[in-house]
Amino acid sequence: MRTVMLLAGVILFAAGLAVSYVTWTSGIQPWGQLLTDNFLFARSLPFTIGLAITLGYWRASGWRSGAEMRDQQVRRFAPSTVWLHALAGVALVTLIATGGWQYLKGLEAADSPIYMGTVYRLHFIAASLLIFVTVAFVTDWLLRGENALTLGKGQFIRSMRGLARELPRPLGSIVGYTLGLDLRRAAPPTEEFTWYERAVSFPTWELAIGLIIVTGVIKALRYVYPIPGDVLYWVSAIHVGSGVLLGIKLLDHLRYVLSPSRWPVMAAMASGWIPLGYVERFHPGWYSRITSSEATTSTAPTPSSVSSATTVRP
Amino acid sequence: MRFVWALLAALYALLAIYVGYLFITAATGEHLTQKGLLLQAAPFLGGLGLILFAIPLLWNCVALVVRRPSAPPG
Repeated sequence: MRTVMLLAGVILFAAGLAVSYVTWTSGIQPWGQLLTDNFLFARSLPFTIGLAITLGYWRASGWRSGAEMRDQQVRRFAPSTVWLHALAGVALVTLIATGGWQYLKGLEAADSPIYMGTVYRLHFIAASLLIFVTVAFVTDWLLRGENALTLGKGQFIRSMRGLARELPRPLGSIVGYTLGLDLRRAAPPTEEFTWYERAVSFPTWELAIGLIIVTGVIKALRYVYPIPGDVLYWVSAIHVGSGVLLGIKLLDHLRYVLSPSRWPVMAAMASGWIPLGYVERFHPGWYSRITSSEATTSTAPTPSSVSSATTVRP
Repeated sequence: MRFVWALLAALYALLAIYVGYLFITAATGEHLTQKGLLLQAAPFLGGLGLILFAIPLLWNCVALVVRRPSAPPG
């Protein structure tokens, strides 16, 4: 059933693109490349979103719960997560490059040595890709009730205590003092994702990607539906602002994952696997769940004390 | 692989610093000065943010190449 749904999504997507392509090649409309690309992007959006929803459903309905282990390694990311994350990365870098190029051209009032129609075309393709990956992930997470990257209901104070302990001492003290946290208490054990990832990094991604997609779609639809000039002005301003925020966010994300102590996490984003010893040391909460779970697909390792776990620094 | 990632990230950080510099010079330039503080603030703060966040990334890129990654215990 789930494969039929996915196939239906692929067929509808192909049909939607074909109709737009036939209209474009027929020469009925006297549009230039930029306007044609804008229309193609805007018209393909419902089909892109539909395909992403079916992919999210396909992923969620075939999801295997429980930890998967082999050779003293535990699976941190599913293969499809690795691929979707890589696609999102490529889309994001392309969007930052092409969007930054457009903004700098206006800011510097300079002529572009690259044909701007090509820059916009790449921007639209990358935007379609980012929307596709985002909608697929969101659909999958909503259907599965996945919340590993969120703080969880009623866990705010506990999460902030974890965050304050992970941050460098001066910053952690500021967070603790501002929120009135009792930092003498032991830090809550780190789960699959660190408190920094759950409380700071992922919410910032959500904000920046959410803003850039909503404002980008409104901008793309301006030739399909009339949008008042004042609204479009502010939408464009927010789009540029969230683009800069994404550029900054990517810097911070790379800083976090390229820290030498976190290299196994970085490698896990490519292979999907992370050494169990690393999980035991830096993700004690997740480790204790893995080792106590009966759903493991191989022999569980010897549990060790989680109290000696090292605190992760962002 | 660590070296490749460190190199790519360092290039991105250096590019971000250059773009940040362009944002700040444009924000303090003659053209935007005439348009008021509100229009100057956005590129100025964005440029400053890009530069400030690029520095720790550069630091980590160097550390990734120089330091040996911590071996997992056990």
